Amino acid sequence: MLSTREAKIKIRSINNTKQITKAMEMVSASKMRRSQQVALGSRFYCEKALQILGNLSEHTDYNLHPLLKRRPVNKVGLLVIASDKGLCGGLNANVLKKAQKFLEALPVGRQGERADVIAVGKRARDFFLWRKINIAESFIGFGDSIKIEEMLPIADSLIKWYQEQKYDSVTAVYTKFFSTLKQEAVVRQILPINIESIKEIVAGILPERGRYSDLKQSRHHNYEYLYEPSSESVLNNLLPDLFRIQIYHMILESNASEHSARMVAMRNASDSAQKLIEELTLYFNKARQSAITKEISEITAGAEALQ
Amino acid sequence: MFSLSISAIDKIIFDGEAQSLTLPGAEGELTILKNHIPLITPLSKGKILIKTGKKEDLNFPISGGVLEVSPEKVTVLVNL
Repeated sequence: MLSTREAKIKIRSINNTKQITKAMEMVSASKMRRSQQVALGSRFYCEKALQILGNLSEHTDYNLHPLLKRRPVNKVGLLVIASDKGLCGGLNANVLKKAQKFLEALPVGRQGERADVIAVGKRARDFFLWRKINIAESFIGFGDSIKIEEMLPIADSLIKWYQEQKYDSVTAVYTKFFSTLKQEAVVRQILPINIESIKEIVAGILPERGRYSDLKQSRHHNYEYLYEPSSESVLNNLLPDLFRIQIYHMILESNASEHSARMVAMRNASDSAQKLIEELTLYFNKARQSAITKEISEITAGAEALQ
Repeated sequence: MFSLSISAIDKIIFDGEAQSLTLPGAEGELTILKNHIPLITPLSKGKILIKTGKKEDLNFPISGGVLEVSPEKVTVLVNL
């Protein structure tokens, strides 16, 4: 059993920990909100681009575009989006487990030859480095920064590699954000581009319920547009943009998930710290009281003996 | 005056009424005025100039984008 002095020290140290976890919870909460807001900022652009694409589909068979056309798969690129820091519950473990499962499910041959990993986040990089799986490139430091310029290199190198036929298909593993309490690791093919899946992702970051969940879809119009110089050139312009947005959104969503997972983890930590403090305080008070009682009875016993 | 909105991937740059809009089209510079026919065209690198009818005109450089003119609204998606 602890002495009263030890109990006191322990209470103080747990209290310090609680203050830290509490602060981290607050920080994560505000960062999560910011990630969501940034995602909202790109919503208008996405909807407009998708709408123009919808109009285009009536003029061109856009399935012939190199970024949309399927081809036999020799080598797969796997984009894994995890976080830079830990302390966020099972978030990274879920993503990495999904990614590894995907790699193991690839047909024949050693994994290193059939697939490369493109890692986003320290956790993803370290995981695959340690397992000696070939990493084509890793991107680090997106945890808090949510500027699109910093994310462009990822999308651009993916498009480049796809066009050079380094990879014949690119799949992404990231954490989908449903709500503060619910995030899920998902696997999604991103190259060749699938318009439907972009639509889904753009709609995806808004939570199912609560704040931001009630934003309405914009109206859709269709006019006889003049395409200058040609509808193909418009398509060539729009597709890479949409792809960039898709990557951007996946990272934002992973960010929002990371922060909300951390928020929940930190809240649990603060709660259990509070519980521990209460138990220890009770113990401390009892120990203190019994020490006093003991002292008093010793004094009275001594006084009695003197008489 | 016509209604104009210009947005980049991560934010909306301009949303309001404008008198004229000059931008670098893929086939050369073009200016959009009121009642332009519906048009969709990619943009090349250059400068966008918006005349809002107020004293100061807005202008900024872009590296590419897409312009959509519809009867009720002009929309520009730009890459900065």
